[in-house]
Amino acid sequence: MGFAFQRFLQMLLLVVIALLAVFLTQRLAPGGPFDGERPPPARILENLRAYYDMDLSMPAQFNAYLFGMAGREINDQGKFDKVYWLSLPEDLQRVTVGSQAEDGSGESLVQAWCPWDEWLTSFFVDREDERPFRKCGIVRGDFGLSMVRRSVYVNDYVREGVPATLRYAIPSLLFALGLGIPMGLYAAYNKDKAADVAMVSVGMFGTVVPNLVMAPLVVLLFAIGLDNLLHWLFVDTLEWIELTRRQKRSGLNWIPSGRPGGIMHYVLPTIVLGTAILGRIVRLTRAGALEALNSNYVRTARAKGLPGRIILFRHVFKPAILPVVTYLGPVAAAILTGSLIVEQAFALPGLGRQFVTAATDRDYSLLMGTTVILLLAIIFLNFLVDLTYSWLDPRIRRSGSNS
Amino acid sequence: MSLLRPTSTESALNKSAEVLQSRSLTQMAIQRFLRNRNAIIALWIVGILLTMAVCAPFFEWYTGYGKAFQDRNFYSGQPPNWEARHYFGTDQNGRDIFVRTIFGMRISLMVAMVAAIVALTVGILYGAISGLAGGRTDAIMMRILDLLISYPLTLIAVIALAYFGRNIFIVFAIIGLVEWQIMARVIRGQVLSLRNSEFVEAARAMGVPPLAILRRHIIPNVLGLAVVYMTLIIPEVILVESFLGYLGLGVQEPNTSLGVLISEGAARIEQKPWFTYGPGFFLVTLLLALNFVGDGLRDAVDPKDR
Repeated sequence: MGFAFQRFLQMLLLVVIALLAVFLTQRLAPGGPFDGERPPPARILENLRAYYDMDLSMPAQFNAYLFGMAGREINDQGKFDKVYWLSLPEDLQRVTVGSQAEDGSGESLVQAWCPWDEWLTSFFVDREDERPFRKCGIVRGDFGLSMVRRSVYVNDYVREGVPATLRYAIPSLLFALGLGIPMGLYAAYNKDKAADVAMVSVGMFGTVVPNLVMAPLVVLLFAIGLDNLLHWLFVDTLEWIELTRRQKRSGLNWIPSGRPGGIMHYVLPTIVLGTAILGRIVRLTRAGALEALNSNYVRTARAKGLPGRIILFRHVFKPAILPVVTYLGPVAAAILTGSLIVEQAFALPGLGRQFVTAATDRDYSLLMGTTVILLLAIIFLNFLVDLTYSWLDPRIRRSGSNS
Repeated sequence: MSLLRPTSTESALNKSAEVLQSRSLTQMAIQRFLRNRNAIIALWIVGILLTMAVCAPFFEWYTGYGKAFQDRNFYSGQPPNWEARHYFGTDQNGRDIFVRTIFGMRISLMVAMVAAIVALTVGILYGAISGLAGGRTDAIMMRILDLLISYPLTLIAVIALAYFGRNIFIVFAIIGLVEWQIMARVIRGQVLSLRNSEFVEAARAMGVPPLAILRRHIIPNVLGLAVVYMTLIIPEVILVESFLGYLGLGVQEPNTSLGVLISEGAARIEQKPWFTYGPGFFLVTLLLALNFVGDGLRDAVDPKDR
């Protein structure tokens, strides 16, 4: 527990460092979110930059992004001026930017929505009318406004993207584990036989053929090939299928090639992401199981006359899946990186796609937001893996508490 | 009789003494590698692909289609046509996909080599510093490495390429910086064992300055292993490059890479599948062969690993 928690905190620190790296990359690189094919006039650009607090110094901007700010004063020229970090003076007139006074006088405040504050306080008090921050910062769960689509909160992008990604990421993990571990065990049990060679080469095929080749391949095989096959088998011979479906020449579309929809739409993305991991899982399980099969306690069990199946499940299973559990951390990273490809290939609206479009469109806040979510997902999964591992293998627990 | 003829154990001993005398570690490694049939076949395939990539302009001349030439008779993507020498068909702009695939492979291999050298340099530096420093520095550096390995550096590379990707040298460097962690760990282990070896201790006792020890004794001994691991890194780097190319980052027009070609094809896989066949086949063959060569080399140099 101590070990896992310590590692979790270290990785959290790395997230902040990664955020800083992303922030600096964005601000130092040429170009910005506001210059498209027709850049806006200089005065509008200036206002836009002030609206997103890009007129502040860089440390101040990063601070505002992380911890938020209470508000900004508007000076006599109607420009944003002084920053109030923690709280506003009581005597200030509070206006939101949209409903500013006609003559431009008065201090201004853009109200922000602090999801976590609201969530935390919603159990105790009702704070509907009191929104004290202009920007809440990501520590309060506010990722800010998107800089390219300026009326959309990054939080809304995330709320749409996370479930869309999970919808195929979790099945692909289950697919790889559910198929890979039995395959590895089976291969180890039949070492050097045809079954072993077949399992290992299937695994090798999965690891070597990259996602970006696997995606079109799978579309060809299942979405088009299978469809044509079914069409050829059934539709031409039994015309009533065609009549009931009322889809002349459009095929059955049994397994669609992506796009969000019903369960069948997520079959191909799941296969593509799953096979990429499958090979490693097969190899790791096989190696672990072989080591266990050659150990003394298995020989004893065999000498006792236990049947092979029981030995496999009682004595070999646990040491065989230990290396797989350690590998789950990199697997999480592989799935999230692969999601960029899969979402592009199958036109799915997930986090990976938002991440790539944010990077190419220079949408600063969206990119920071999606990066944080992806990295947090990874460190959370790593934390889970560490916990599982120390539960499965108590030696880790002891060495962790010593250090 | 028994006096005249040596016993079988004796002859075996003589033989092994002969072996020990006549072969160095490197020769034994080469012998082990040559005995690995898969690795040799893979090496031939890599050699052929490499030659094709180097001689890419030859295919331009042979087919008669330049890599940017737009064939008006085969506009908007025609299927493979052997009479017209469009072996893989043409793409949306009437350009020959075969020639473009070869040129794409050329760029992919070039990026891979330079990026692998970047990874090698960073890995050697990090591993050597960590191994030589020892103690607290070593512990901290290894802990950072541990954390970085479970971090998806590819995501950071996507960002960096989206912002700085116009320049091909920056592309090399960024891709190289994704894949150095394994190398650093291996080098550090090697440096640790070298640091405590007799000849380094002897050098230290003679008063050779640390930098000279590093240059004369450590780096030459580490380099062989590093090169072996570099062959294992190259397919990874090709994968990263094609990944980034697929997302439209990295290599820009008029240059192309295997990843870029596959992404162009994948978008039209239902109507024009031949866009993907050639580049996909070349990418998979290249990766498979490189993996076999790398594995073979590692097994030959480091046989206890298996």
